[in-house]
Amino acid sequence: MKNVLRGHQGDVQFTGIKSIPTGAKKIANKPIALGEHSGHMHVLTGDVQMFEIEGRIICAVGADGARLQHVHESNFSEACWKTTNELQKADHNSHLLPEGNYEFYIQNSYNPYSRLMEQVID
Amino acid sequence: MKLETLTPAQEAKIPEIRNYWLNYILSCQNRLDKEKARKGIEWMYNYCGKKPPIIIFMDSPFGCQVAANFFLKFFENKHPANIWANIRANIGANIWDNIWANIRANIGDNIRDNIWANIGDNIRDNIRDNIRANIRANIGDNIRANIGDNIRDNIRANIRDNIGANIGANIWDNIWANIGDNKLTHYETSWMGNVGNYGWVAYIDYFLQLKLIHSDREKDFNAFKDLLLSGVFDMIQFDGLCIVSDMPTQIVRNAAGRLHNPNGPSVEFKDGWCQYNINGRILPSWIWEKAASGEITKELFLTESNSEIKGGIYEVMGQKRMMDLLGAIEVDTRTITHRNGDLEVLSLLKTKERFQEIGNEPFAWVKMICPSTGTQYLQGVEPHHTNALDAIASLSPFKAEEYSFDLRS
Repeated sequence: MKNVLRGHQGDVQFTGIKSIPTGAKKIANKPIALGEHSGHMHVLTGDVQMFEIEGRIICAVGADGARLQHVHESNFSEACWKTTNELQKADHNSHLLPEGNYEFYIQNSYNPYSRLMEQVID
Repeated sequence: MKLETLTPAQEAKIPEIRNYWLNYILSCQNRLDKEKARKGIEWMYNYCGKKPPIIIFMDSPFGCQVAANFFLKFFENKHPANIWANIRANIGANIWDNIWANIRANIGDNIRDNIWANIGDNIRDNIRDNIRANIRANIGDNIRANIGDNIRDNIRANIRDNIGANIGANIWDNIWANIGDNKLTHYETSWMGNVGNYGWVAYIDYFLQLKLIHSDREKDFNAFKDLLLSGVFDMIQFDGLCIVSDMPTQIVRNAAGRLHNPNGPSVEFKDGWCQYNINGRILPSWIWEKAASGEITKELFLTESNSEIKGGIYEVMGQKRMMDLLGAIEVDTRTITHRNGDLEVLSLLKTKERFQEIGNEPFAWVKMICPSTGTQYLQGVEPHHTNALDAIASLSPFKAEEYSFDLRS
């Protein structure tokens, strides 16, 4: 796909997709990635519904838009899910996403001992 | 007629019950309630036709092994005429198998048969996969079995340094002084009455709590459940003597649920006994100690023959320190112009040397700079890369020609 929106925030990357994949299951919104030791998380807030299929992270952003934010979990509460206001950032600047469907990915790193790609968790 | 569908409220209870049992241990907030445990152990022994045992509470499963050695070997040898000899005379065989067979047949299997008779296959499969198998993998396999294997292997090999990582600073000094040169014996731990039972107990608990089945064994099941919820981690069950371990004070795992902590012990108990893991692999504590004190040298790394230890050093040191240690050099640099006009400089780095344990290849990394913080990041890449852009794209779902972003931070 050309001219679709592509973005990169820390260890998280995303791209616009045409539609929600068939069979994707609606899930309760949750952080896209959680840091294992830092307490930081990448989270999409605002007019958004999350879906999951075979481990893929899919989000449908509605007409009011959504904001991809990098926050410390202590600065995030239930009330934050619905807002596109900028929350106190941890490291990475936030991004406003327009209406559309998006797939999110967590960056990999190659482990020469296991010879496998492993997801990066900060 | 069998139950074939669950209501939304019943579905919602699945993660609730699973998470209750997982959090009971993973939160590390629950400690041994000795009175509750005593009541439960006396009930269990009685249920299996045994008299109430002497109960000894220890802070760790390793402490239980030491206590068992004291009661069954050392007191007998050193103090034949005193009270301990009398106690020893009343301790019989290890009865883990007797207790396991009784609880399994009369409670576990009995209620499971009831579930088979009354609950449809799809619901049973759902609860089995989402409660029993999940808890079993997380707690039984990844925690209890891992710790048990470590203790068993180390006792059998008589490796003391690895058994008590904090040996110089805690109560194990006194214990070793008493044991002297005697070799420890490993005693089989319980099969019923430990955190590894959470899976099947939670499975049955789901059906009983929701009153989806009725069982005449519910009272016995609840007595066994109460024993598990008294904060017992594990126990060694002799006829006449039961030695019980408290829960861990710390558990650190990776995203896959395996014990993992590059920064310190992955499991720790109140008496200071701890173990170190990387992605579930048990490794010696010196890796962490030497990494913290700057004693990991290139020579030490290169002359280490154990590939698992080398992998552990790599994880504990982190990519940046390993790159510095091994003397990586820049082999390619590329500048990307992103769609938003940002310029990003990427570098591909490799070690000059090749390493036997990773297939006679060099270590390779790609270096990038965070546009928000200016921090340099290194990510491992496959060693065949010669182009920094190809290398970084290989870590993402994008092809090299697509690796250009509208939004970056």
